[in-house]
Amino acid sequence: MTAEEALELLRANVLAVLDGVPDAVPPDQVVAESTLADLGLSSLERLDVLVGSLDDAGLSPSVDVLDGAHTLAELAEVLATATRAW
Amino acid sequence: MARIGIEAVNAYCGSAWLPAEELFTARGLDHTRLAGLGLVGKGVVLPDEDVVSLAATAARPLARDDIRTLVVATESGVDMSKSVSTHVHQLLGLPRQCRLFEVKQACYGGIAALQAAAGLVSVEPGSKALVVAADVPAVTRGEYIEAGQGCGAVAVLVGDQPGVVELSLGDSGCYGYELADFLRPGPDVEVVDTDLSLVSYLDSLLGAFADHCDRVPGTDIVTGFDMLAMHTPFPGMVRGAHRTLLRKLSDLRPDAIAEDYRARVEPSTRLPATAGNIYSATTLLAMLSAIGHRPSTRDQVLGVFSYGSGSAAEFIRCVVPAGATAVLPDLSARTRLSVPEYDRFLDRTRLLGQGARDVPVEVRTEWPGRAVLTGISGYQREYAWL
Repeated sequence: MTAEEALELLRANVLAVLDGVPDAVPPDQVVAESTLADLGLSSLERLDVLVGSLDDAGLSPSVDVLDGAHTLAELAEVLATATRAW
Repeated sequence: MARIGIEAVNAYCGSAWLPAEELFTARGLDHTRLAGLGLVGKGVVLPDEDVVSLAATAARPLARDDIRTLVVATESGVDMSKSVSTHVHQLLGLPRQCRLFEVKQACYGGIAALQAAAGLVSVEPGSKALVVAADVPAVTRGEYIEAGQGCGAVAVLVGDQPGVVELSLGDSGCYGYELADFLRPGPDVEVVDTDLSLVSYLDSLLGAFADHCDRVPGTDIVTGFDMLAMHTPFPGMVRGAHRTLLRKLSDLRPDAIAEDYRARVEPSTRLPATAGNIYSATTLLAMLSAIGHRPSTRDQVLGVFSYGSGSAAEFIRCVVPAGATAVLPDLSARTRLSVPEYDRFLDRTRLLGQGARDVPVEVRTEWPGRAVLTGISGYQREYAWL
């Protein structure tokens, strides 16, 4: 998986979660520089995005993937790296 | 191997409580998040209570003169050297021929203490061990985590007549690694990386269960357990963890996973939802909740997962014998506080943590039947029973 593909995967999971959130930010504001906290997601909603994205990429929940990554772009990079290693 | 496990259990979740909704309103938090968190309320520590008094109050009904080991699990210890066990030992009037120590590993402490006690009982046949897990969180005002920060203690008597829970020694699954997801660098400071901690919880659940399966090949998470109880920082975390676990390890569809949660897991979250997170004691409280809310005339297999930030985790398999009884604490008997009263109590509690010196304490006799801190002279704490 490339970083671009991973970013699209993350965006799709963010948008799926935002779909059920009142007063959610508009989809066009879900950009590579966004952090999950910027988007107004609760801790459980952030967990849904992270675990859903890892699952879609064929990975298990792991702190090794998450540690140090904050923006969607950073998360996409580590996700892409992890899938290549896998 | 001898049967070893929990002979009796008792919990004290505080004499006062605060509804989560009222706290959300007072702090200006988003109420739409409350349902996902699954919180109803939390216990509040009184101005004359600390971790010692909470532990002693929970343990008193289980005290007996043949206890060989007393171990307290806590991350709210009152001294860097002297264990909370020594104070509890005195308050309970236990014999001097008793092993006293304290354990700490965040919210995993209670299960670590239980396993240590079971090991000691197994090498001293016929002996009894008293395990008490107790905590007073450093409350983080204004954050979502505040609504889940309870207080209290759970005490269990461990021996070879396990009428409440029979442990399956030697086949538990362990999983641990260094992680800075939650730190408590001082008695009244908590630093948490929520996202890291929640993912670590899931990572550890999968890892600990996999290690258990390596030791007991063929274990099935769906058919192998009648009930599941997990560390419950808030019920929503347990619901998410169960969903992740079953997505990974079963073929159940989402509606079947939700039904499985209601049947096998939700009973374990009822006490934690109303008592709040008691850190070291929460997994034991979830076990008590599961047993008390799911009585049965047949043996039931209980799977227990404990996670402590930092991190250490364990998945254990145990059996709740047919007809086992566990008395649930009457949480409805607690006094409901207003938010201003709660804030005043918090201000007092902050003065009583580790390192407190020469602090007068106003004993609140309107809440009887518990151990209280009567004062701190120098660094020496004095206690009494009401």
